[in-house]
Amino acid sequence: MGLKKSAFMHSKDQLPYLGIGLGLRREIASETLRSDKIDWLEIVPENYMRIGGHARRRLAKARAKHTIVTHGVNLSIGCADPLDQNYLDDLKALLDYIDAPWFSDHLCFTSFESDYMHELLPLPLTEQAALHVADRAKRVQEFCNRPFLLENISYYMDVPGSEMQEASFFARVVERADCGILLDVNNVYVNSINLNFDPYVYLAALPLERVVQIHVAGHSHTDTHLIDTHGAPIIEPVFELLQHVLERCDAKAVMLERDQNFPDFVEIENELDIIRKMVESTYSCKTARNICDSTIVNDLVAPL
Amino acid sequence: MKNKVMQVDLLKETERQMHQILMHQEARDQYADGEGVFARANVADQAVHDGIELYARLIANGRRSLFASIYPLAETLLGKKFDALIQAFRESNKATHYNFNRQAQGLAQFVEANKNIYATRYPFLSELIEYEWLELQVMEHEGDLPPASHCAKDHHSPEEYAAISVQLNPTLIGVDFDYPIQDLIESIQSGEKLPRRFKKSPCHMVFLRDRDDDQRVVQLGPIARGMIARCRAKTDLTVGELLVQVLQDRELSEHHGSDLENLLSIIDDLSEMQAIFLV
Repeated sequence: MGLKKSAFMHSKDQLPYLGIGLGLRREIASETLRSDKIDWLEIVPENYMRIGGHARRRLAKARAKHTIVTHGVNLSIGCADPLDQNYLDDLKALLDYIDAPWFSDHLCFTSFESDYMHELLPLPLTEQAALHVADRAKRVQEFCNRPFLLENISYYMDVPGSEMQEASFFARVVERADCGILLDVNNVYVNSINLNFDPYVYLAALPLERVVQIHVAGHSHTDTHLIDTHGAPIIEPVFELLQHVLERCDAKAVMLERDQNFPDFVEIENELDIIRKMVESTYSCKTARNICDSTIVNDLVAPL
Repeated sequence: MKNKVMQVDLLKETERQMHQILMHQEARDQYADGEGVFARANVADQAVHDGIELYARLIANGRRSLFASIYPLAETLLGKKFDALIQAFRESNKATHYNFNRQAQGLAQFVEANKNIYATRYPFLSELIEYEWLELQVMEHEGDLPPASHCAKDHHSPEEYAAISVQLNPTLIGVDFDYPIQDLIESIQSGEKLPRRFKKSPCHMVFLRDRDDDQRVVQLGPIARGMIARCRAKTDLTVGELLVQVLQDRELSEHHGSDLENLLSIIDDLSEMQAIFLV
């Protein structure tokens, strides 16, 4: 007899498989909407909530062609202030308009006492903070009435007072909130270099069954840190992490993040092709293995 | 319950300190010698100090690019002083809206309130900044424009035309400027050296977004401005009612020659520029 599935895990079973996606960015919007290499799109909701003109027109075109999900930057889920109900109302209206199958934001705080800093800032990794974030994530998911995913951020320092590793904190939050994971494999890689840990140990500590969406991207270097800029090609160790994760979870969507330093669009499409091949070969292998496994099980239970 | 409150208080205190350190240079210069979570006594790790410097730089760079993208002419005009202006603005003004661009709202009012510091050389600076802000505002305005219709007066009898409704473009924003703002903008864009003294020359400008989602900025004369004001005051005005109201305005008719032909021609112009829609 298996363990009882949580409400989120039940809803994950019902989510559509979206395939390979790209972020809808103003600078490359026309190529993005023309391309036949893209199965779905992700938008930054703050750039579309209560905004008309070009943004609304772009969104209407995108919505006519693709499934869209949102990936917010200013929910500020880790902030100690009360949740911003105006923000949630505007977000919900957008989610309903695009009929998003799920939505996501970052495991961080971006504001303090209604002052947005426009940077994804790390939280103190404490039991108390995990409880606080989980409670808010649960409420946000209920209010928006669709699965909510939290993404691991790239961060550049451990906040003093932290009591646990990031993976344990992340796991604690999503399990208590009963929400999903948007796993950014580039962020895992960037953090592992900046903060000196083994990315595979990190991944082993996460409840990967909760992964619904995966982000993959490139990054940049400063003298002291790798920076998650989404402004460069994906490097091999990040592809390796993607492969590792794909083999261990049933993701519904994988997305290439490219937000600046845009190359010729054909280069973006080439990266999308590579990701698609990885996903399709991994998932066809997994399907074949599942069929094989179920045959063995059937053979074992077959009457003698 | 008490425990939960204490937990959030601890989180809040950590976030308060991070906010202070990252947003205020003075706090950043002093935090290590203070007594909080980030004090030197509590943070032996150099990585935390490097991290704080990096975050502060990322925030400042992001803010700079944002403000420069919204206020490119002010940046051109001020050069290096532009950075000091936005730093001072942000130190004393919260970014209370979740939308990134709206972080830059209120810069014109800040300059106007501190003109003895920031506008001594360029007394029109707050107006230039306001102009650039309004260009963005109309492009992002939530308002939907009515679909195109063909209500030109040539296609209707005078009675039919008089009964047509006039709708104001919902994105339209009208502003009075003291300085000849468009001349100044042309001078800045063409790299001309600006004169030492600036002569005031009041004008009324309207900013709007058209049906192609392009932005239009137009200077209006007193009669056109009066028509816009009447359309704003009464939303279900007809062409006939608008004409009667303007004709009955003694100041407009006495000083600005509001004969019927002229008024009809102004309505055509306003409709052509999509300040109003005849529906």
